[in-house]
Amino acid sequence: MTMTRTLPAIVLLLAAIPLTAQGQSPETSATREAVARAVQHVAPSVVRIETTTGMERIGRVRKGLGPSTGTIVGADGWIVSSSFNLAHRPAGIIVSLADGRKFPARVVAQDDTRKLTLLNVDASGLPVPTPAPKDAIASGAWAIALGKVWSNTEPSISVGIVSAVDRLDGRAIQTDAKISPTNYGGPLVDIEGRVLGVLVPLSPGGDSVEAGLEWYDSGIGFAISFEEILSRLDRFQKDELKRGYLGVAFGGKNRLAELGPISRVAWHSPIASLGVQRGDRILAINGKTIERYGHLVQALRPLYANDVVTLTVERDGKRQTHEVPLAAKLPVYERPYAGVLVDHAKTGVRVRGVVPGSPAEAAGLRAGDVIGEVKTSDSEEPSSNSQAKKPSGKPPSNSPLDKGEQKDGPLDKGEQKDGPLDKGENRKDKGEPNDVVTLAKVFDDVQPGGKVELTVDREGKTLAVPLTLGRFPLALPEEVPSTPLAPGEWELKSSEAERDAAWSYAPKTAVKEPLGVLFTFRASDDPTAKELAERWKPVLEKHRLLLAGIGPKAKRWQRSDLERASTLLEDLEKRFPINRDRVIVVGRTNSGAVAEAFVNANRRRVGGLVLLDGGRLSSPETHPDEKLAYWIGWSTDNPKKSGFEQAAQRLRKAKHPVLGGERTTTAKTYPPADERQRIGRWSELIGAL
Amino acid sequence: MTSSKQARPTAVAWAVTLMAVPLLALPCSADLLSADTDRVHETLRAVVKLYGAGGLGRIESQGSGILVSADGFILTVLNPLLESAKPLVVLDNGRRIEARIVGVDSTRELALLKVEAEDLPFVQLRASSGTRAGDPILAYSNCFNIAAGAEAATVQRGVIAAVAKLRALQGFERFSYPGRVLVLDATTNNPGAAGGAITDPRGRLLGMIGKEVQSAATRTWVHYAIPCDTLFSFAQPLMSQRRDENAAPIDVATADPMAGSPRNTTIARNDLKAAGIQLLPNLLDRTPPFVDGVLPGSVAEQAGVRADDLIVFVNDRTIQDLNDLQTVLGSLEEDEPITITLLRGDKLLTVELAEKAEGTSR
Repeated sequence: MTMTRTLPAIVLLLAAIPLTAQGQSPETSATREAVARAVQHVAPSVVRIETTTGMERIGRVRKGLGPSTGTIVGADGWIVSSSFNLAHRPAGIIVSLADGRKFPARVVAQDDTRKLTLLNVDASGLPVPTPAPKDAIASGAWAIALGKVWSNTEPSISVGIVSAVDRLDGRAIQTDAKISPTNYGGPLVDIEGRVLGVLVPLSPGGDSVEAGLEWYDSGIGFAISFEEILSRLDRFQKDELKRGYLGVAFGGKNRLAELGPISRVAWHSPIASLGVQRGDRILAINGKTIERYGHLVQALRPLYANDVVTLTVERDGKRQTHEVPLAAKLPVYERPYAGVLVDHAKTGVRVRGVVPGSPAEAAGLRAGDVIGEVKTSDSEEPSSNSQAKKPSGKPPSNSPLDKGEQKDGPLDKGEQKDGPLDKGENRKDKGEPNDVVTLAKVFDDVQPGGKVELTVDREGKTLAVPLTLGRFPLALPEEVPSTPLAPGEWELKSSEAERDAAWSYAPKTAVKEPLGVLFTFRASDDPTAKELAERWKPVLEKHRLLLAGIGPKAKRWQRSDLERASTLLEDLEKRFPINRDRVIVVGRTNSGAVAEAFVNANRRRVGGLVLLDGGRLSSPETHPDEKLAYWIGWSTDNPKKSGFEQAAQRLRKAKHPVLGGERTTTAKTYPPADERQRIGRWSELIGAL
Repeated sequence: MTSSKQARPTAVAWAVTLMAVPLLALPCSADLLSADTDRVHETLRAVVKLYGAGGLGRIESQGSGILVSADGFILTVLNPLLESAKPLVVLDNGRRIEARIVGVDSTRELALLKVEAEDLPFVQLRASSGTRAGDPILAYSNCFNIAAGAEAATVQRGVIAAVAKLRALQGFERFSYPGRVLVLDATTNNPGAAGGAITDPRGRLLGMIGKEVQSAATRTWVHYAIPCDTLFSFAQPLMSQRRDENAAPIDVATADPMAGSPRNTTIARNDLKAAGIQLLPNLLDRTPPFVDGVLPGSVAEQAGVRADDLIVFVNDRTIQDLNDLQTVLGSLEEDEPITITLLRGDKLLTVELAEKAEGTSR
């Protein structure tokens, strides 16, 4: 019928080989009888689950709506089943006990990590089977799978062995008994009649409720340790069991790779609450040494939210051990927006301009104001819990996880004492962030919709200015204030032998004020570097931007081109003061994908991504240290334009700031004047607080 | 059919299974898995490969059969391949013999063939087997036409998973086999395997591998066999009647009215309306069988049925939706009392419609 069916049969031929001449009668066979005894022992604890109505499709799978199986876990009507069995969201669930009694059941909770559902029926004195101790389960031992789909009286039987223990990162026991919707939810029983586990579909390839169904009857089946289920039962009876997250990421996901330093600490995550930072190393989790990425996954994947992990972390050769509860969900960071353009060159936070229509304008901030202090208030207890902050040191946290840890993580260097803002030099000596960065961090923690109170110096007077932070605008403001660069001579420099392969266009003389960069990946029909430089020049001057461009070394873009681009950007970073928030990577049509790949690999160096009729438009996670704004443009005649529109929506939903929209493509030359001006204005906006 | 494709085991899966196999014999006594290899060898010789018409799309042109007599009677399933004028039988040694169809059972989808030969290896038909769930089995067939050369068929091992009624789907059509089948925990029912033999480890016939069908309950492929008592009662009378070689095949199902076709389950003979139960209009694909209202003074009201009750069972048959309800009601005997199980809130209630709903006038 299908090709995939051919292979199993061939293997089965081989599977049949280990037959030896015994000539024994199976009816008297000791094993046959042992299997029968084991089945009889557990059978009273195996129930049939019938459902009424529900969806026929679960994901891409057409689900049968016939009966399914459950296993008794608690005498007072507690039954566990595979979540797949109830994924069609039935209107009614009826449980038939082995003695024939029927009860309506209610869904109590679900275990997301192991795809189990806990049911309760109004019954008592139900037989809970004996669990097999998890530590004693050994590969090669008999494993008998029971189901109640075929009959309401006798369970169906499949006989196999335990193929592996601690499979799927310690979540499941693996068996070669035939596991399918026929016995999902039923018990996997050992030869002594103890329950090894409850059968579920699972897959290393996906977490959806139907993942793993494709392996039904394949000889790879999974069961969740029954001993573990019983040990967690009181928790399961009270609450949903969710996966626990620590909030840590590393360079790659190769499980065999040695674990490098932490590449990202998720915003307001449990690990962030400990003060652990990017660059620190994880040495051990719950006493287990972590050498490879795979060890980390094995240590964390089986854990639930609120499970407390013990974590050994190393920084600069010093080790610290922490305990922290895992989170069910990591909060998604959304870039807050006040609409304040600040002067980076000066000490303190000097307002250079205010975007019309922005929260800052509504709050009455003006160009020339100097922001001294910022006060944040907890939204729950606005008056009593408010705390004054210099825009310096560690920002206050509003994550519930951080409660109690709010002072300092043990690894932190300690909060800055209050003091006048203009003593910034000290901080510079210590490599502390400047005031603008610190203010931005306070805003990051307050989040859109949150309120702050700014202490503002205006013409010698001190004012208190309450400000409600907003979201990044959904439309490009008609006017954005800008401070043009002083006129001067610019030069076009090729940094590689071939003229247009890698080039930059920048002022000849030194510049003090941080600049932005328009970093273009060449599309095959791009104008020459010289033409681009001429066209962009007025926008560059007006909005304090440099221009750089790179083309593929060979005919097509290659991985090595990303390195070349990185070198080119590094060269600019060395020559000029660069504001990373305004480093804008541009990809158009066939250079969209490479531009996007460059940004994903250099999130900490790039603040904007312009994609014009190109790119894959993947949606990375948001992070305050990796702020990224998108400009997505599509031509009116682009056949894929609905795809770009949807991608822009998707990115917005993932809390990314997105602007752009339809491009006018009537102009013969790229980039058209209006597009240049709009991107120029946008480059100011993404540099604003 | 996308779901079926998705649901097939992958090559990787099987490769891992293979690695696990040598372990099987180690931990416990090997009796559940081992068999008398001489008997296996004999049985393999009695399983033949069949070739005939078909080969278009999903229709198989190749199958398996069981020699049940030394003079060439062969049991198989009623397959499109038999529509060929002279289906071809290939023995384990490569010998090719043309067969004729002696008889069929169009209800149970069985066929008895005959080749003209003598002293052939065969498996003894048995009137009963006393099989139960958990019993070890061996399955013999030419699955996937893997034994296409001058070679013997394939043997696999497994256990009887259940002895149960089969409610299945063949493509999109319902496939209901009258009577119980042997459900197997081995992956036996693959293309070309239908008509193969199921024996116990001592080589005694337990059943014949059925066609490829999906379970209506789970929408997964079912591995099952038609039990030997059914095979016996079908084949034995045909084998003992010595009939003309040129006679047309007999259809046992038509010849024997008692064998009967499954009851027509599409026409509702009873209508709950007559008992005073008003249901939701059947507008959706799967309309839940909620009681919309109960007529005052009706049988249903007296029995305690109320609006918003959900009908979950009728005479112990699960009701999925309104279509299901109609089907189940339609399958009831004329004078069968109707017991309805209702879900009201979190309580189950069973009501008997004492005075049976009046049948539609006929």
